[in-house]
Amino acid sequence: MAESTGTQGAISELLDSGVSGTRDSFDEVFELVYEELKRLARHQLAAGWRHQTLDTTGLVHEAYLRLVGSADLSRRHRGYFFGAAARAMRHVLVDAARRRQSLKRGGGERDRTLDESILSVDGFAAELIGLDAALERLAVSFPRQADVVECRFFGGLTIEETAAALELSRRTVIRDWELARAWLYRELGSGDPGLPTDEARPRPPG
Amino acid sequence: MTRAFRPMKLDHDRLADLFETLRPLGVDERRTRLEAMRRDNPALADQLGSLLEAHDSADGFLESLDTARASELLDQDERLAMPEHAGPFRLVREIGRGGLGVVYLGERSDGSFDQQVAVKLIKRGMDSDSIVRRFEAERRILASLEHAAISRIVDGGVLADGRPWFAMEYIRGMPVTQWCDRQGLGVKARLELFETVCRTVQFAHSRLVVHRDLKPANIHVTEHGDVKLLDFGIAKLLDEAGDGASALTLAGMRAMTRDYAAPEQIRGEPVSVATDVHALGLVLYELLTGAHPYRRPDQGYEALDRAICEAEPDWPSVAAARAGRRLHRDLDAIVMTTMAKQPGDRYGSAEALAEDIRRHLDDVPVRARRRTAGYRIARFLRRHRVGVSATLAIGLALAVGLVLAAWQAQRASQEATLARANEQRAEQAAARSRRTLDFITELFRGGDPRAGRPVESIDELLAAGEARAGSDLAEDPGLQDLVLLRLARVRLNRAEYDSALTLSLEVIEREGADAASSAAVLAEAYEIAGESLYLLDDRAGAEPRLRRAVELYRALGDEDRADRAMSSLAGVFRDGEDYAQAVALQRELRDRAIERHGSGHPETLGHRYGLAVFAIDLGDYDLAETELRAALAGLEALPDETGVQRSGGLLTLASLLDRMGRSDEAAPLFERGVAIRTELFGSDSEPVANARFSQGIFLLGQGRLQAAEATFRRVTESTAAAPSTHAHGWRYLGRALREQGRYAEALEALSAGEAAYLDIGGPGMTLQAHRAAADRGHTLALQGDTGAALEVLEKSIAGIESIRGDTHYDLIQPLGYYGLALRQAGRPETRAVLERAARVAESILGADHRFTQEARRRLTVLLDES
Repeated sequence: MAESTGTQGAISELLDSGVSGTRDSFDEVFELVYEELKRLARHQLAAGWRHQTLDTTGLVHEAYLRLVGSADLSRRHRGYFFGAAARAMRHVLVDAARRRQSLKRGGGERDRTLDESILSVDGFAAELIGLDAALERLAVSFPRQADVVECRFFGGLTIEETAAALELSRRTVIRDWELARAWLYRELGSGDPGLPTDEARPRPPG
Repeated sequence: MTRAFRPMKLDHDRLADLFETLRPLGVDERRTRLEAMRRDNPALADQLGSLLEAHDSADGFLESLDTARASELLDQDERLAMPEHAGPFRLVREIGRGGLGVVYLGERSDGSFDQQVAVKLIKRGMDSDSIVRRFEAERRILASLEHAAISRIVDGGVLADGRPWFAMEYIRGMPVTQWCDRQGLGVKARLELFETVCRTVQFAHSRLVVHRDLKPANIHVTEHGDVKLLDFGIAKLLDEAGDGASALTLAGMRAMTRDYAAPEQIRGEPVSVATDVHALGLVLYELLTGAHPYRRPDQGYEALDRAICEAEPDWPSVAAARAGRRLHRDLDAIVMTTMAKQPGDRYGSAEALAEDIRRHLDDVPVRARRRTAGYRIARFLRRHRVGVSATLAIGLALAVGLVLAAWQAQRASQEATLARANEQRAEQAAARSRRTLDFITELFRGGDPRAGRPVESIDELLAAGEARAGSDLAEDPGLQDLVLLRLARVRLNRAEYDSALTLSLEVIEREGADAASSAAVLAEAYEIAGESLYLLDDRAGAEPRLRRAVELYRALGDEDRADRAMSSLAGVFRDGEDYAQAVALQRELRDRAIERHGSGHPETLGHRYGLAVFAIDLGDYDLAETELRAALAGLEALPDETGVQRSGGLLTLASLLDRMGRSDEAAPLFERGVAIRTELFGSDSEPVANARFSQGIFLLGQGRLQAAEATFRRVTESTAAAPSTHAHGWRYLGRALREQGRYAEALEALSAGEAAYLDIGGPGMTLQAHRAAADRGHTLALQGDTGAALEVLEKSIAGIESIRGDTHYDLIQPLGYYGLALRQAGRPETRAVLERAARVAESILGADHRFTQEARRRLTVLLDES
């Protein structure tokens, strides 16, 4: 007979086990949030799409409300959620950027106009991909700092929210943030290529 | 100092620390420090230096995401995925999306006329053959829905990239709820409009199309006042798994609105006509009261899902009263029947619903009953755990599920109503009770004066009540507790179990400390705490509290409430599979009920029925029979018994008797059960299909193959049966044919069953498909096509193992078939397989079971032969 596939309590359960450390449910929370964010982003853009601006912070909070509701979660649970949401937001954007790149390579052009917005979006997509790759590299030596960037930049989280998400102190978040920014700037900007590095750089993904 | 020949490993933590230390320093100081460092560790110094430099230049870097360009990126990403044209239509923008497909707004502007359509096509990357075939099949069915009130298919085709598409009328109009409000329609006019909607839905059902996503947004009214139903069957089309759950449910992921889903949909079970009926119920509720029965502000998906599956909504008349409208009792009955949690409890068809509405409009008595007193078996069915032991035939499970549901009481709703200011029957007796009432009345009428505005929602009300009870009533702890308990009870009814638990525990804690506490208050607090824990799945916590509640109530002489708590306790044991305890408690309940109410009272009958069910769990079939017969006899004597409960009871008894080997007694009971249901629901209805199916199983077991065949055929032909019932029908039809030696026909039927299972999809149905495949394999073997038989059987067994593991009841028969086929083919593995079959049978069913003995016998025969 039919087997029930109840999804009730899914997110709370995942957050619980993640926070308590019984299980690494980060990936699953991530999955849930990713889909939710995509959907919300789409929805946000749907009506009057031309003139709408994406509010990533608002999206993350709305995703929270929709997935978790007003259930009374501990700060840690919320933090866990927001961490996953920030990562999901990163993926939503970077995936779209990659698709755009591959489309150009594949030559499947739809709009062959010199629309300015298209040009600037191409540049934006390239920047995102570059940043994403650099972030991956940063994570090799400074994993925590990379997480902070993810939370703050992609998730739009405040210092406090980031601290809760990563279970760090405010001070640590600020420190890490400054270091990460410097490192990434050096990496993406005009760093001196002749400078010897301390380890072999892993090849950027994609 | 020379540079290291190979790059030195840096200590990143140290680097971070140093960076942090040096960052706020001035240029000169930094330089000094770096120089000093360079002597010992040049690599580190270099890294540090370049980082600090970068930091200084990185003003504003990464401060914020360029959301404007991000919007543009995502937006273009969406549009890039959209094809430019589909046939004669130009695609404008996306308007909907499911797991499998996408819906776009399309325009035809070929000069002759303008037309807006909704174009549906499969998502890229999803165009496997089977999916495309399904899409096409669905389109054909939808194209057959020619009805003025259903937005029809306008065109269809295939894109350049091979993806099929079709276009439907894009209706401009307003959701029915909005339209009725705009037009200021009264109850009567709304009902008449709704009747049209129901009859339209019925039309589609008669064409085998279930909507699956009925909601106000899909029920439009045009400017001319015409009803138009949108998106019929689209949810299925867009559904990825195709498992009968609508596009609304993919594991963990939600579509935009699920507010109108039925409990079975939320649980991922197959969808049927009854699902649409439930949705109609919610829409009707909203039409009549102006509010959704379950939705609340700031509610996450889980809370809403849980509410739909478990919470008791306010009766429509109560909700409407809050909005200043009066509703007739009959409408309460109609709406609540349509919205029943168990599919079998609802109207059997949209037409039945329309007819009852028509009866009400014509001032004729309606068929729906407003359930008042009765036995609360709701919790026994919590989470669809019909829970009858697995060894009984499927037919029993079907029958029992429906009947148990039919006993569901509305007592919870009444409790909630009691808390309302309108009711005067709240806690009588003391002035204190009067004050409780006053307190709540004030709350409900005027809201929270401190907030300076009227309270807008029940949630606010409850929260305000809880807060005020804490402060305003602090000087009178006894009154405080009474109020908190009332609020806890309301929370419980609204399926907010955590809150209910917190409140009741608070009362317990305080009452425990106060020596002069009121025992009645304490008893109820324990009861609510126990029920909440039970519903939160904490059986260990629930048991002692419920016991205490029973004790306290009995000591007070409050027999009714004591029984109520005891029923809950019985449910706890039953869920924990401690059947002996459950039976013992239930027995006591039955005896008490007989003493207090007499043996013919509905309450007593309900307890008898519950005892029968538990007795079956325990394996005490004699007891079950006695109680079932007594319950049935009592039911026959009740004046207002419609026959719903009776038919279910008869079928349960029939299956039980069959199980006990008394088939001659069982046969007429099956007949009667089917007959009663046919009269009540119509020959083509789902309850009748289920009843026939049970009967078919029985006939098959009896060896009355032709009768079984005929019965199963009727099941497959029923238009209202759930897809899973159809599939079962095909499979068992196949078996009946096989037993008659009509192998070719049997294979056809079994294949149809297998396909039907796969069509519904989902793990449960896939398992059934494997079992049907095993039947097919056996048939092939009987036909002599051993090669094919072995292939099919091997796949089937592998499939079952992947779902059930390697030792499970479901493997017994397939293994047996496999062994036989191997023997037929003279293969050496025969013995090993037959041994395994026997082992599995023995470990699951025991050595004495006839299956085990059969398996052993086969083994013996084989060994003798060699």
